[in-house]
Amino acid sequence: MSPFGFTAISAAWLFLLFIPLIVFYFLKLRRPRVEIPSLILWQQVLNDNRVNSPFQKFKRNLLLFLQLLLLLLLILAAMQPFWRSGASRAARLPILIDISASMAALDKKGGISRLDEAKKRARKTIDNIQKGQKVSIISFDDSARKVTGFTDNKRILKDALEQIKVSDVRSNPEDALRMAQAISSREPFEEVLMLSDGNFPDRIDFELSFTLDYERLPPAGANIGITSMNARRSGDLTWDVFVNVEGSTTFETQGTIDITVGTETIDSQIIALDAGESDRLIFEVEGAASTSIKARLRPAGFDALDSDNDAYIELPALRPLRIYTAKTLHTFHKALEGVDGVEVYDSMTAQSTFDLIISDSPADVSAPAKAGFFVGTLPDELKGMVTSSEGTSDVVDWERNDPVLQHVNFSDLVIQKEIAFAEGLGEGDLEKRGFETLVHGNSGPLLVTQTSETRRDYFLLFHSDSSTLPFRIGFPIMLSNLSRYTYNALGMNEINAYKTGVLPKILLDADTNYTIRCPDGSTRDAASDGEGILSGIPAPEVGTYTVEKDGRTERTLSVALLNTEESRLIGVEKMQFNELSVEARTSTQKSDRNLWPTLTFIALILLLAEWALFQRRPGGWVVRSGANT
Amino acid sequence: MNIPAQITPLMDNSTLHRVERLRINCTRRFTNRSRGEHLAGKGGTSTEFSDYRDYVDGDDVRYIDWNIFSRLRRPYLKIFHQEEEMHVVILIDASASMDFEGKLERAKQLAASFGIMGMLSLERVSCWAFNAQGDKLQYTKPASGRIKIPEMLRFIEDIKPGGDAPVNEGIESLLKFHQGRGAIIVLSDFLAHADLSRSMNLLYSSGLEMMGLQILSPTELEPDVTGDVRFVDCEDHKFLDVSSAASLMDLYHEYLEAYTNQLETDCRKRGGKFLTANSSDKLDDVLFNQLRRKGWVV
Repeated sequence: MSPFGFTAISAAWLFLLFIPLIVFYFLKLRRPRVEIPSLILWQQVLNDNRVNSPFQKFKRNLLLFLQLLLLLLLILAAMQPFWRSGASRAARLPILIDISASMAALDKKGGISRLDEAKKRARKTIDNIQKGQKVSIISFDDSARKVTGFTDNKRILKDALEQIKVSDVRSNPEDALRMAQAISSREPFEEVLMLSDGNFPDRIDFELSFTLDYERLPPAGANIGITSMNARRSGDLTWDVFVNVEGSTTFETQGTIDITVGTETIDSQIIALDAGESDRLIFEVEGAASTSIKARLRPAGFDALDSDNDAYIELPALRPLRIYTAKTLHTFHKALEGVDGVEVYDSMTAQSTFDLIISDSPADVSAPAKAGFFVGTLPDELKGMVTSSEGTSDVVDWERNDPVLQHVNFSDLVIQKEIAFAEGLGEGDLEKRGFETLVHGNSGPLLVTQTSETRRDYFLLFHSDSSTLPFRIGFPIMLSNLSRYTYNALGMNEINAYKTGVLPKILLDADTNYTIRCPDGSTRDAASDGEGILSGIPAPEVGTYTVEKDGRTERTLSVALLNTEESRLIGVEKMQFNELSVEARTSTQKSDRNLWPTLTFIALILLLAEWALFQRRPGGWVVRSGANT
Repeated sequence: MNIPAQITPLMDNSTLHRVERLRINCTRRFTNRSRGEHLAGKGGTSTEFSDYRDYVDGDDVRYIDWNIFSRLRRPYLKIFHQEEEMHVVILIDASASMDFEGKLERAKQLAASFGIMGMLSLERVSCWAFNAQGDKLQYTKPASGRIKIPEMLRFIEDIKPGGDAPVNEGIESLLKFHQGRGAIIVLSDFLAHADLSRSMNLLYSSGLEMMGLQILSPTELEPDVTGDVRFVDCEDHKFLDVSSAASLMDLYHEYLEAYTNQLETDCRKRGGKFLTANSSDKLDDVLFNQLRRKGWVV
């Protein structure tokens, strides 16, 4: 196959222009007239044999040759020649561009970011678009966005490319691949080009239906960053704050971690990491009052990525867990008294608030709490679906992974009631009502749970008094699990720092409009739902987001990158899909190279040379002026 | 303070005053017998001492140096320079080929300068100019002395360019009318198709020392042409097509140099002088530097 090709071969008819060019050259060759004092010297020059040498004969028609060459170059440019690279020429080519946090990493001090490198490569691909080819641009971090549809308009594509910015979010190409697959159903294509630094999970749950050309960008320079931050209650009124710091896999790194509470720096630690090493730092913080903690990493020397140097965590004030147990549930009361950090009450007033309610009264189901455990109580939603009659029930199985049932054994539990589904109903019907069965009996559910955005309730469908449950070893374990679960639900046991991507759900006033102020100063509007939950707020940048209502700050939330892959800058060599794998390509993508700009440039140079040689007016003799005195 | 009016538009007064102090320096001494201020090679009767020689019978005893005779007792004769009158002919080429880039203006300036030099040396100076073939030459009668200078300057100032007469024809026409020995200063571009050696021979045999001053324009010396051009001769309107003129420049310079060298050789063979001047050079530079260094004027 010829190394050259022409996109617009039909323009070859322009070669016919050679005929009029030659004809007009000889018919209308008009030399500029120059009047000179005498022809004597020029006649002698022209009579010289050297002038009539073969090369000089060629020079005599040099203008014609130059014009023919100029026309040839212009016609070839019009035919839009291209240099074949050997790569396939897809009619449609989606370009997936990674914009995750690690794409902001620089290769060296004052160098270019990975995204700039990706843009440069994408721009080259756009420049070499041939006639009939169309390109679409999709950007992705952990979600994908279509930047442009398929188009061959290079200006639109380049403008869109310039608009792409890095977001401080982890990378996951799965969503982008699914989007590409969805687009292919409407506008089919065979190949997808993905430009990424490869800092994403190597296993991707996706069935590739097209050829993926994974072009891995050159690695960034040294980086050190905070990859996780969490806090755990270590005593009645103390938090242990854990900060995990990781460095690049190929460079030694070091820096200093500052822990700031409010505006006061309470601790600083120097950290030095070998290549690929990580370190976990522990700081102790008083928990009597709610606290905002910021961890700031100050790298020593060059640091490729800035966005992973900050982390934030909000710690609530620590206090004992307030549990209400009905007086009829004496065994529950006794068992909970032995658990650390709880206050157990057996009376309830209108003003009292509890974190956990344990009761056998259906009236207490509606009492406000973070969690509830109701004994021998059938929820209103399940009335008529589950029956309780005289008889016995046996435990068949239970959900051992539920936080309340961990390490609890219900084997050989004797229940003096027969709990059964109403005729024709089953677990599927309970699930439709929002209930999940945790303990399965031989005829029906024995323990169900209902979970909402704000609380979780457990319903033991038989009374503990009619069973051997209080006498089982699992009973105090279950209650201990219950209190720990409530602690966790209140955020007073273990707290993780919020990550970029989407803000966590925020409990606010129901059906209210709020303004979210982002770290860069921009704002967006959002509304809470009927339960007062504000959710789905995108948080693409590291920093503090403020929830405002009528100009008044309601809540502040700070998010950080906190991702190992993004901070360690490990480029995945091979993407493992469900059935096949794709190797990374580090060289620039081959593409057919357009030659018409080069030809046009040469033609322009030739035109200027021809003008300089032949079109410039001869000077000198035409001037008739007085002599110098 | 009175500022003297411009004497001639051809040159400013300061140049004119400097010219007055110069004399034409001829190599050979074709002179008339009538006495003038031009120093002849043989002994003469001027007041300027030349040499001593032994007295021989018949010598005028008035020239015996009696002081030497009193000391040596032998008669010696004092010899003085002979100052004779020389005819200076100035021939100006006023054909169309001189009407480029101030060539004719420069020729007129130099003609006026040589004329002033000659007249103030009490030589008989006549100016001639030629234009078209077959036309009668314009000229001034031989004259000398300061009083005749304005008349000569008016003649030179009134010379108009035009015509197709070659320089050889101008010389031969002049010789038909001119009488007298001396020097002829030819101010021309010497760009003629004819052989000039015949004209030089005629001048030599007529007792006129040939002093050829070739005036070329800067573009003739360094042509600024490129590409394909059609050269048209301004006198006979013949044309010549030249392609890639820029590539022929070396050859042009080669031929120009050979042509001027040939003219200079022809002049020297006949005891004359030849000099090429650029019309764009300053007049003072030509007069007081180039001509002086080449021994044209002293």
